Amino acid sequence: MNDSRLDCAEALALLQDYLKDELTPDNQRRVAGHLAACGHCLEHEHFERNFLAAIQRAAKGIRCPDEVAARIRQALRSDTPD
Amino acid sequence: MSSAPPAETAFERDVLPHMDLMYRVALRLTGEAAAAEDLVQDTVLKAFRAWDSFRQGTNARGWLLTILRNSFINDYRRRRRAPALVDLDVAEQHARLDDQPGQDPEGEFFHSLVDDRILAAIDGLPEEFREVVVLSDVEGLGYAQIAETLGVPVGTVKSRLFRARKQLQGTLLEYAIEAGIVRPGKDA
Repeated sequence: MNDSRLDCAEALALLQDYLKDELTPDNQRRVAGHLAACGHCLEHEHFERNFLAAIQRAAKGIRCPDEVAARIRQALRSDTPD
Repeated sequence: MSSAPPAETAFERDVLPHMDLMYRVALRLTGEAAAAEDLVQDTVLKAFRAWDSFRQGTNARGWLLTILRNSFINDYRRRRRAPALVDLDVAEQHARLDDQPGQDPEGEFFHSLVDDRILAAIDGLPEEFREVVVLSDVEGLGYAQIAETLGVPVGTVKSRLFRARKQLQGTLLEYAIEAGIVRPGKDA
């Protein structure tokens, strides 16, 4: 267990992994602790979260068109392995 | 008269739910709907023929993405006009825009950007950056899964994702400044 505090440079270096939830639980907690007490780093975190939300909003709603899905199902039904 | 629909196979059950995911990734990789449709169909048919080699109970999503990406590289990329390799100078230049948060104190500018501009900015990334952004930030895959799909080390995924996001943020910031959504920073 490592309870040492992070400075801003350390916290920001871990921010990407933190936002992807890829840190150890211990380090997730340490970054969260730093963000809770540091407005400067919290601003960075909000910026990154807003950015990620915008990408999700723009790209995640796209669906395979129904006629394409139907065509693929049809191709599967008639496909015979070479 | 048509008979009752054929029973759903294990392949259909495990693979077809990922059609939207495959289409989204294919669309961002190819940059055009017609090519994306063909790429998804090729991927599904290749997966069908390779179904025996798929380990039941493992992650079909990762398996399909690997097939899709390999198909893209082998059959589609040559047709694309965009450069496949990363322009390191441009990437580094964007990566140095460390003060981006300070230019958006209210956190509003991403919210104000229209989806088409965001998609255009993603599509304008070099391919190596684009694919990690799509797999990570659109589809939510973790580092290990992305590394497996792309066949590169986790450290490479992390550094590409970092640089891809900085470049994308830089492009979106430029859009936002052009559109008057934000004012340029003091030193811009």
